[in-house]
Amino acid sequence: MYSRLWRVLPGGVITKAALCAVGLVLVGLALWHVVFPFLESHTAL
Amino acid sequence: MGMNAALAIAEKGAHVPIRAVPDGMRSAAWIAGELALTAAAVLVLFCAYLLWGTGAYTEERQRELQHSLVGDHVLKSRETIRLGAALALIRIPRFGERYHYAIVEGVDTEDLRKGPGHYPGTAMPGEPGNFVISGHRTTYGAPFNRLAELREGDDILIDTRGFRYTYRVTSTRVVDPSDVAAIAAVPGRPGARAARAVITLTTCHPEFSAGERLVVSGVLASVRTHWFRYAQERHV
Repeated sequence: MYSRLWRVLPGGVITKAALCAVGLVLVGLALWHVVFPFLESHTAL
Repeated sequence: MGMNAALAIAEKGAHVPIRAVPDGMRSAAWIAGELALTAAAVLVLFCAYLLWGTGAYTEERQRELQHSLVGDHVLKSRETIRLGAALALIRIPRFGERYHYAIVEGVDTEDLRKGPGHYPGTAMPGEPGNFVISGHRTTYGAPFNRLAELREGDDILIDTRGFRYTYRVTSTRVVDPSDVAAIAAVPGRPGARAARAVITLTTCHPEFSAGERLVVSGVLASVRTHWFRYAQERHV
């Protein structure tokens, strides 16, 4: 799955790595600010 | 069985073809493995969010609330306090000198994310009746994480604009969440008329579960004014 994603990314290794980093940061921000607060509000602790 | 026949069987056995795993199944297993690892990474991140992300939120809200307490010169009463606003500071010497939280008026989800919350309708600090405070035991700064460490005779200090109320712990117990008698004006005796000032701190029990409630009770031991000292003191 990830190897296929890596193959379809444009550019050389550095470009691909930079795109991956940006993607990871965006996914992390979405999780931290949207998904996790939603999940937390449904978790009784 | 002749030697030749045995050799033939052994040879045949040695060449039993191993059935190859179909490509589709192999790639499905690979994808499942990658998804499992991804889910594990997300789970670890979620735990980090619960432990530190929520704590950072509470820290920020506490800073604002404590600033508002220092700058607000209005004595808090039932009439002047509004939901979500800071009511007083709680200090518990057993938890160290640095332990202090602004108590928020209200116990809604959003109120408790800011810090320990005062049950609306229960007594105000120092008043006859039950001054009830609830707080998170885990997540959101976990202000009441160490509540189980309190022992009979420990002090709970409540600082308002003009006074310091010192309550003394009398008991610690675990109750069912449906047991609302603990927050009655006279704890354990709903409907009874309150003659003395008591305090009740409640939080979840055990840690990371809302299955029961840990309840710490105390009685008002002393009141002293500290208007001047409070105004001079740095709280935040």
